[in-house]
Amino acid sequence: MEYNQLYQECREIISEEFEIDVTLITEGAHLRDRLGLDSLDFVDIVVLVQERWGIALQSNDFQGVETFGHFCHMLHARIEAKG
Amino acid sequence: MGGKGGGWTGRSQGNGLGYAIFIWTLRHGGVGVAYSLLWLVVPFYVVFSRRAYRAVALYYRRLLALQGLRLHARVWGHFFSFARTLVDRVAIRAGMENRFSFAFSNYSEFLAALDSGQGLVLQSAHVGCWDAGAGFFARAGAKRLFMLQMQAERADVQRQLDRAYRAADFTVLAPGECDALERMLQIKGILEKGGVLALMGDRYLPGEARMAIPFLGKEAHFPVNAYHIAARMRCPVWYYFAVREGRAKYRFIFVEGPKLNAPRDVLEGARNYVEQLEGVVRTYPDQWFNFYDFWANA
Repeated sequence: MEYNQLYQECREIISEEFEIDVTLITEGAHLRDRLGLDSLDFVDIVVLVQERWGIALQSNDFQGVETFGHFCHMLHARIEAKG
Repeated sequence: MGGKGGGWTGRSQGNGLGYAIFIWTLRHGGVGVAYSLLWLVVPFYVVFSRRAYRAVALYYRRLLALQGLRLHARVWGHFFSFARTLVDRVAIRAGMENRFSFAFSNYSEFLAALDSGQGLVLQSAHVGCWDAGAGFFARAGAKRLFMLQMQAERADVQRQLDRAYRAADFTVLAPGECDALERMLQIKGILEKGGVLALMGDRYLPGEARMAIPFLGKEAHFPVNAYHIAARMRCPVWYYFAVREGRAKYRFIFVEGPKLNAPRDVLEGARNYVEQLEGVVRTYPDQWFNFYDFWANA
C-alpha cells in the first residue's frame, strides 16, 4: 500500500471517528496535545486498525509515536511487514 | 482511611503491628471478639479523622437531611459500620467464610453471562464489602477476574494482610504499574479473551475520564472509562454490590447494565450505573464508604 494512500485513509478515519476537523490532522500534528487524543482513543485506534488492516498493534508499537505522521509511518511499516 | 490534602488516598490508618494484633484476635477469638475490639478502636478514628467525619456528616445531611444529635449518632454508626465491614473482609479473605452466610440477587443470570464466554465489565462500588463475593463468582465463572484498584495500604499493613489472606481468586491491576495506553491495551486483551474486568464505579483515579452526574440530589464526578471500553469492545456491563444484611450475613446484588454499542452510549451507561448505585445507597445508607466530600468540584 502506498504511504500517501494510507495517510489519507488515516486522516479520514481519525477525523470521522473522533470528530476532529480534517484540516488539523497534518503530518506534524501532535496526537495528544494538538488532536486531543487520550489513551482510550488510542484503544479505539488499535481496534480500528485491527478491523481495517488486520494488524494487532501493541503498546510498544506506540513508543516514539507522538505525531500523526509518526503514527502513519509506524502503521505503514507494520502493513508492509505483513505483506 | 486517611486522606491527605484535598484527595482520598484509600489508605487505612493504623500500622502493621495494629493489624497483626487484629488478625491474631480474629483468628483465635473469632469475628465476635474482633467486633468487640472495635469499641476501643473506632472512637479513636472518629475523634482524629475530622475530615472524614465532616464528609460523612455531609453525606447524611444530603441523604437523610439529618441535623444535630441524630446526625452525629449516624456518623458514629457509619464509622462502626465501616469497621465491621473491615473485620468481615479480613475474615472472609483469610478463609473464614464458613462463619458467614450469603444470599444472592440475580445470581443465575449473572452466571449465565459469565458462562457465555464473552468478556464482561463488572462495575462495583465502595458499598459494603465487594471482595466478600469475589471468590464466589471468580470460581463459578471459571475464568480470570481482574480487579483494577489502587494498592494504597502501607507496606507493613499490606504485609500483614498478605500473610493472613489465602491466595486471591482475582488478579489486581494496580494503576501506575504501567502507562495508561499499556493498561488500556491490557484491558482490551483481557476482555477479548473472555475475562472479567472489575472496577469501582464510584471513584476515579487521577487523570481518569469522568462525567458529572446527579447523585443524591447534586452532581458528582464518576469515572467513565469502563463504559468507553465496554462500548468499544461490545462487552456487557454488570453491576455488583455486596451489602451486609446483619451479623455475618451478606447479600450479593447483580444488575445487568444497558447494552453499550458506541461512544455516544457512554453517558447513558454512567447514568444507569449511578441510578442503581443510588438505589443501593438509599437502601443501605450506612454502607457507602467514601470518606471525602464526594460532591466537591463537580
